[in-house]
Amino acid sequence: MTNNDAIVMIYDYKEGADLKPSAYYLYHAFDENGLVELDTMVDVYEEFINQAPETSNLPLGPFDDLNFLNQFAFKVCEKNDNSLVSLISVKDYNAILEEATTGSELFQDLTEKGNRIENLDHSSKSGLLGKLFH
Amino acid sequence: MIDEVPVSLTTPVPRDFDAVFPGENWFLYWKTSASLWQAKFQEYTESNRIVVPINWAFHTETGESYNFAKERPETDLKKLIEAARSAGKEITFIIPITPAPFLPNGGLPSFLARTLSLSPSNMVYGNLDGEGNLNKIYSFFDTRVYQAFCKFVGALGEYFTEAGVDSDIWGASFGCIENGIDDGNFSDFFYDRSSVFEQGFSRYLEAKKSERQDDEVVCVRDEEAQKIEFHNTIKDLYYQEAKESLSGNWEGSLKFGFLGANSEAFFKRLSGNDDTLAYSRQVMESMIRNVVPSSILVPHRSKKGVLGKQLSDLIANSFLESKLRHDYYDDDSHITLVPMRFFEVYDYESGRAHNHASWDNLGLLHYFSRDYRWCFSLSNETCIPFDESTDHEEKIHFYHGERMNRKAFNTLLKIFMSGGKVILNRSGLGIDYLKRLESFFLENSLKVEKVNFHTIIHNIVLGEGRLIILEGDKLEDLNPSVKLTFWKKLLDTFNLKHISVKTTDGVDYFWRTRTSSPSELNYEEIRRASFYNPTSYKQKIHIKMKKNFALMKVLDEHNVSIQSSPNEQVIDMLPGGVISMDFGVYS
Repeated sequence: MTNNDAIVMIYDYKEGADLKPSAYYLYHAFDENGLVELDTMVDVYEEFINQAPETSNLPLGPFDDLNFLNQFAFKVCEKNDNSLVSLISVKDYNAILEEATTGSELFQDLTEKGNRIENLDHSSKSGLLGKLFH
Repeated sequence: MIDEVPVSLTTPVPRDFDAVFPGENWFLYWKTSASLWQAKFQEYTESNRIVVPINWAFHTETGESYNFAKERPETDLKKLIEAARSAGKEITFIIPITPAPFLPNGGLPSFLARTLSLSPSNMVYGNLDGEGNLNKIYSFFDTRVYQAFCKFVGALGEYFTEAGVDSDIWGASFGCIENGIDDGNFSDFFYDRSSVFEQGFSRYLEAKKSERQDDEVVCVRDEEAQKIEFHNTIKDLYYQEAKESLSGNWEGSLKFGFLGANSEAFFKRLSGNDDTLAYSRQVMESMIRNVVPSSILVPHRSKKGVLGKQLSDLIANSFLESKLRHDYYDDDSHITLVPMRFFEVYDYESGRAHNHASWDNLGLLHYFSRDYRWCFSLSNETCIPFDESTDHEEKIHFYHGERMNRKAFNTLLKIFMSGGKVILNRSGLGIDYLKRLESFFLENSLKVEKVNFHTIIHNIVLGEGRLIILEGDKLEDLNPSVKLTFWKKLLDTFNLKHISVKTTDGVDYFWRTRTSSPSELNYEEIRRASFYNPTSYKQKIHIKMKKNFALMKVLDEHNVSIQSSPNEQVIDMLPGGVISMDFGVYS
């Protein structure tokens, strides 16, 4: 399967402070067309978690655990009709970036080395038939 | 006979010329053979000023010795100057005092590239150059980097003296204009929160504690504010070292903001998408912050349309030159255009907590964007010295009471007394300063006029000078349209001469000014408005003519049509449309 229309999502775990509990937050989300629309992600967040995110800017969250974040990521992937989503922690992102030498190599590594969740309902629009029938 | 059109199915290879002249008159000497320098300069017709960044890593491999014209001819900076002069060009050097995003390892020699810098979100900084190479940024907080930098600038200074290099050199702080929450703010690549930074910061705090013998003061203060202070202190060490070592050629410091370098642009560019609309806006955002925009990370193919025109008109042949030449405003003031500025705004430093509303939150910047688009400068400096040579009468200066310091306070009083206009937001102003203001009014027998319009406004007049004191906190929660009305009413009392422009969304424009030439003596001043449509939609502009203004000429028309009447100019812009108009201002 091609990785060309994969979404890459980068997240981190933020330690709680004052009255705010520790949680996961989404820092960046992008695919081959550029950044994933923040409004789309906020909508998915509100539908999925049943509450508004802390702010309507990035980082988006909180997500209580990784399972929630994975499910959220998959729903965004479904909504955008991407073939897969690759979730990467900031720590892993840093390690991947350190090894890469070009932008395209980094993008490829991020789509391949993250926690990949495939969207089996994805309509492949890349082929000629896909373009005609979707 | 049919002309044969060359067709290439492969990815276009960047021209060698584009690689050495990546934008805004920059020349990357290490990217081509020294034997070709002169030919390249002769081929370059954009400007006679060539900006050359010094590539530290290119002049040393081990840090033990430095190569200036010894082994490789491409390290011969004296020869570079001679090649430029023989082609009628003048070289201005810039030495990075922060990591450089267009160089591998941020410009550090590889033996020093040890600890990667971390962003506020703990991510490693990556930058893509115009050829898609990934450059990582390494920490300048490593003491070994600082020691090696001192050695390098020392060697460079000696070489300049021995070789008789007489070109100017500027210390350059490289960064980018942020998007998102920090929209519009300049952040530099010196920023780091890696372990090396944290270790240095701990030592800094320890040193401060022992100096003060007062643990309490250090602990209570905001940690982030102290980190910014540490950042600025270390950056200043680099700056001072470069300044001392290169004192014979030193001209000062400049900030450069790279298009395509903020995190949002970086992730877009990973898949080859350059957001030229965002870059167009960043060009304007940079200029109001006195940051020189640089497009050298952006591939040439993305700079062919409106963005390229904008960079050429506003930066390469105008703003950059005004920054590099001290005499720019004096010698050729009738032929050279500088940004039109009615207002000097001093605001809070980004990233540092403040208790009172910023000028943006008070609706001032929104008002400017409607009625005085980009006709202001925005600064985070709090220690602004009073410059007697500056004409203060013509501008309105905005100060916050919070974070007021003695220097800024004295400056604002001096501006007022020398006929300048000052608007002071008294929210957060310390009681000492309030008392000093009161005694200043009493000592000078100044009449304080009091008006209640959404907030209490004090108006004090001294000759040509005006001081307006208002309580910003009262404005913060007002409806945005009420804030617009407030600022319009207040600023209309200054009787500023300006033309009203209404545009559809997406068009941007920038005003510049110059004095009139001997052949234009009917006018006191000439103002040029340059309009750009970077969108893929048709756009419309309405320019309401005012008395004291006359349309002199229309230039650089591309994809536009104009309907003129005595009272109004209406411009229809097609996608990619560009136009400039000169207006004469008379009494």
